[in-house]
Amino acid sequence: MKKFLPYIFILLIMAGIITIFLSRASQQQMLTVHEGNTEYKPLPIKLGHYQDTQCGMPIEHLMNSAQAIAPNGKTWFFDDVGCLAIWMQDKEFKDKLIIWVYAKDTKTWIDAHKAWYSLTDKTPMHYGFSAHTNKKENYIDFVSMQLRMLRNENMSNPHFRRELLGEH
Amino acid sequence: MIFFSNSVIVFIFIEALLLLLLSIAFINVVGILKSWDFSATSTKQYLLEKRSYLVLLIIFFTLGFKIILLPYFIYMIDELNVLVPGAMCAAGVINSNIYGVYLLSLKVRILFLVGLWIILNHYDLQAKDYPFFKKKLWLFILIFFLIIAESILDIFYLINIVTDTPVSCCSAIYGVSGISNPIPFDLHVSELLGLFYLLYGLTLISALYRYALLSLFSNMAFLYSAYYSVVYFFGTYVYELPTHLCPFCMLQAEYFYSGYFIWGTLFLGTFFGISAALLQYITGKEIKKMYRYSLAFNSAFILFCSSYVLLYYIRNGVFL
Amino acid sequence: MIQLENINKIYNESRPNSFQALKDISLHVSKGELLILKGVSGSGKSTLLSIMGSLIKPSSGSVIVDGESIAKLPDLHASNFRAQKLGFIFQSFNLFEALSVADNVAIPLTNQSLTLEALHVSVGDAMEIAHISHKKDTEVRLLSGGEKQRCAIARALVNSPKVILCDEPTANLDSINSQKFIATIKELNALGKTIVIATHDPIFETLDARVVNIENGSLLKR
Repeated sequence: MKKFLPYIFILLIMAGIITIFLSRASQQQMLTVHEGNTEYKPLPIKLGHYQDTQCGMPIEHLMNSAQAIAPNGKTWFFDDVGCLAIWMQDKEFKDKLIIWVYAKDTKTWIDAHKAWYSLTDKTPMHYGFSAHTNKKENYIDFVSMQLRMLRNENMSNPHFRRELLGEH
Repeated sequence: MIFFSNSVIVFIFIEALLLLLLSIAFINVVGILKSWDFSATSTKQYLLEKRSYLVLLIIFFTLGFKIILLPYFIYMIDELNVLVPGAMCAAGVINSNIYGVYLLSLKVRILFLVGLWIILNHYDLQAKDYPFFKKKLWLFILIFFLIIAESILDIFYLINIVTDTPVSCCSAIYGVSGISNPIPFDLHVSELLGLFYLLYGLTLISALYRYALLSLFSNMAFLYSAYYSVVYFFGTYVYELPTHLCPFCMLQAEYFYSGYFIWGTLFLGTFFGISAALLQYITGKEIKKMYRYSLAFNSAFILFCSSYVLLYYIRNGVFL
Repeated sequence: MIQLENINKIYNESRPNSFQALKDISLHVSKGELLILKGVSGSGKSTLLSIMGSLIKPSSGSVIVDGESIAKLPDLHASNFRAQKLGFIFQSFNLFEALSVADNVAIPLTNQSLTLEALHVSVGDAMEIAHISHKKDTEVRLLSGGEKQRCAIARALVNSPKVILCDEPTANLDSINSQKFIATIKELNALGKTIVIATHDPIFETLDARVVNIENGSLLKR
């Protein structure tokens, strides 16, 4: 028994090390891009395992999430539609993207260009733009939302936040 | 402007002198290696043996000085932080240009090889018939070429140290950026610590039972994990500030130069652990002393680092 | 016990004043043999003796003493070999004048890691054989030539060497003391010691020993 004691300890330690890496790996199976979505449909998102391409955050909620599909079927995921707006601005194929957003009111995936965006909702990256199927007062369209993101006129900008919330 | 600094002048002078001596030794080593045949009793062989004694002595002393020069280099770049805007410690100075990190990394690797050479030389001289003579000369040739590369990098690094543009301080260099985790394999600190102590356990077993291969790999892995553990965990207890992440600030007087002890014991512990295996492979002999030294230094390192955490908890009742 | 093969020794090699002291010497000395190396001053006998004693290395050739190739030994090992296996008796004694007889005799045992008791026993035995015990506490500078020679003999014997090398041992002795020295050599040879004496003193012709003549660095064939 004494002869085998060091080997037992080594095995135990190796098991411990492997456990650490395995647990990290299982938390870490982050997907940032999906290939072959030639049907251009919104893909089911595995919460906690899909990663926002732009900001690197894992997508923990479907609410406020978005998907962008390139003509070749490559699909990117975003936890906040504001991240998508930043990400797509320098893409050559930005006009050919098919974009799905998860609507807050109908809890379904809808075409981002057809959605209406609130200005002051609580979103994962604090930009404030939440997608809705139905238009309400002060809601803006996709192009306006994009513009506001690029001009930093959103809730994450403290100066603009005060204006949006009517605080003085 | 940095070339007017006393420590830089001293450093350059010593480096140049050592390089000159090593170059002389290198030329002789090439000549000796070409014709060496210990079993021969010819005039040429006797002359080679006579010459090799002097050459080995030169190599021994110059490489010994190289060992001393590394802590001096670190002291020198730490001193330069007053001349480099934005740098609060050696971290800023080392990262002031692209050459610094590569240079420091190369110096540490050379130090490992130098230590290996010195020990191999010791065992070679203990024997009557120089059994490792050619091996140690080839190792010296490798070290020499690395030292040439190091000297070139030294020049590029020192010339390119900026004194008119602010550089990043350690908080910016080592701080967590929010998006990417600087710890390898995206480990959390708790996971890193678990790995750190487990790997120490492996080095402990390999030293106690003198398992060469295990000693080699466990010490290499331990060194890697220990570096990140010190920077991202134990260092915060040295500084008593959870956001202060820096491997260099602890070398300063305000932290009682504890960094020299921390990095010194880590380096020595892992050096002896790795060298024990390498020398066993080269010499065919198990060198018990090396395993004992590895055990002693690694344990001293672990105890010292852990004591900072323990003492903090005892004093304050909480962890950082 | 001692095998010399093709020994050459050139002083100041590759310099204008180079001088070949030994020329292609091959010599064998058996265990327990008493050998006289006979030759005039400058014939090379002291050089040959120094090579046998690993005090200097040859320019070429091999030197094997008690199975060890001593010319190839690194300095540290050569020193250890001399300390353990060889005893030297020099022409000028090479004693420390300010030290006592016992202290001089003990010097070869310095690095041998002996206990103090063992050291005293070895020193006492050596002085007994050399017939100098009665002067053990006397400073060497106060001894006569013959007594100094006896002290040197004791020092040469203290480490129980297998080989004793003597270089002109009677050069500084009168005839009476020379006779006493020869008697001591006979005793040592009877104890089984291999002894090589380099000398040009004709008094050694009385010894029952092999004589090898050396002239201008070469051994003369009879």
